[in-house]
Amino acid sequence: MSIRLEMINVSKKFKKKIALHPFSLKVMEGECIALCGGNGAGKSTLLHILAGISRPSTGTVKIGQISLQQSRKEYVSHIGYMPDEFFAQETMTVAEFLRFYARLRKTSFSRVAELIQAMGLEKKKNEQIRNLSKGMRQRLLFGQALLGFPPVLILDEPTNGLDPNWIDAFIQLLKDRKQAGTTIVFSTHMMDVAAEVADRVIFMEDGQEVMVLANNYRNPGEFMDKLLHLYRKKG
Amino acid sequence: MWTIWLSEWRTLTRQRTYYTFLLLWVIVFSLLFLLERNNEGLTGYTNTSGTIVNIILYLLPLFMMLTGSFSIANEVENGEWQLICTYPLSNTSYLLGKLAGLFTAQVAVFTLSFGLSMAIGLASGITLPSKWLFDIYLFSLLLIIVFLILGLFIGSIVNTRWKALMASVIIWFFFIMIWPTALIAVLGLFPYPLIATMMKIAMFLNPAEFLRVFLISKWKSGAVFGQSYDALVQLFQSEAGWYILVCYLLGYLVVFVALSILCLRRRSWT
Repeated sequence: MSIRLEMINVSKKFKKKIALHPFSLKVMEGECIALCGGNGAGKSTLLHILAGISRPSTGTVKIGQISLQQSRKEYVSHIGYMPDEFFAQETMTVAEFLRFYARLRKTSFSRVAELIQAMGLEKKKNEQIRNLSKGMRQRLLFGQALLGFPPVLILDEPTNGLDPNWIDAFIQLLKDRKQAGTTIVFSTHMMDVAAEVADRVIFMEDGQEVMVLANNYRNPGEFMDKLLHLYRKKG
Repeated sequence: MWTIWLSEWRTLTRQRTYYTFLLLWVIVFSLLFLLERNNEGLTGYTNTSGTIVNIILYLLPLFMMLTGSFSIANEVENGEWQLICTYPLSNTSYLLGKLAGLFTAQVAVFTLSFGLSMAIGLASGITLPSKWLFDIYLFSLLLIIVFLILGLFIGSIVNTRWKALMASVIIWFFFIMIWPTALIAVLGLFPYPLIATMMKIAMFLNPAEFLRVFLISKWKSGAVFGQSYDALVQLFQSEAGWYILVCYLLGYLVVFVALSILCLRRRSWT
């Protein structure tokens, strides 16, 4: 397996505040990384940089040989991003919303229909977004991130607001994407989700990595207990 | 660009406030046309024409700047801008798509209400000369495009709707409400021989003033601006006037579109 996503000494400074200390990471094809940590730990800053929203103050970010700094447009065409909060396009219907982003991704509308079904939104496809529950919006946003079969998925707290059934379905979807070779980086406060799908769990605090745990999947229960213990200690 | 255009069109036409514009314009224009009921021959720059031009100047620039600036500031505030940034869409396509979408939607509502008011006026037995109507309509369309792009420029600088509102109102107040007073105050600082030239230069800086002078000149009533504008009024009245208008609008659009794209580029990857 080759390196799909690479960050070398990436940092972010907002005026005088350091939001992310120099951070390096190599993620392989089909690997899944979970970012954990309390509020303000720097998870979203890191994800924003990876998604091409935020310009790193120092360092380089690459997908394969494509550098974010040198060819941002090409870089972002390789990612699928799911934001943590989204209140826009309220008057659009579910299908229109996905079609809008499918056009921007130059993806066919048959993919839209496929994702509507995969996200369990078939009955809601002609419903305006303002009428959707938080969990449905999350599923819609996840569908949006999957539109163009991106080789890299960046997900900001994707399980927020999902009910237990959909959390299980979401875990299965992530496993399927991993199997298909997609590289995934996501942030979460749910240690059971991290334990189930993440190959590595990175704990962050004050804009820096404080611990990395590799998941060998031999004893998921024990791994989750360990994560919970660390989360309570660090978070 | 067409994707953004379509989305903008859909978003605007599904908002209730969009239809309040329709209602507002129908009421305003119908009342203004009805004003002429007792007057004969509505041509050129009359008391009613002046009132109509002034009311259009009070309302359209502010509404267009608010619509344009909110269109972008709202997306920045609610997170949509961030999501769009993760798509391979250029700032130029984004901005031109927005401009085209907003312009289409605003022209549609304005044309519909103008037509309805015209019908109400005609049904009430008022003679409305077609050239006069066309001039007013064209003047309004030009104000729509010019102030929409100014609004989009504001939206590309500010990051909240509140700031967009403040900036739009300040610019509107300066360009529309306080312009003559500000001009007198500032020009008073210049040596007397320079004042006439500076007045003309100042007119080019304010698109609302430029369009107002152009329209009234075309109505052959440029004398109201005084002797210092004589040469300019004659130029506007001639055939070359249309070329000057086209060049001015193109220059204005290119400058503000370029500035907006520059600001968006800075924001899109901060």
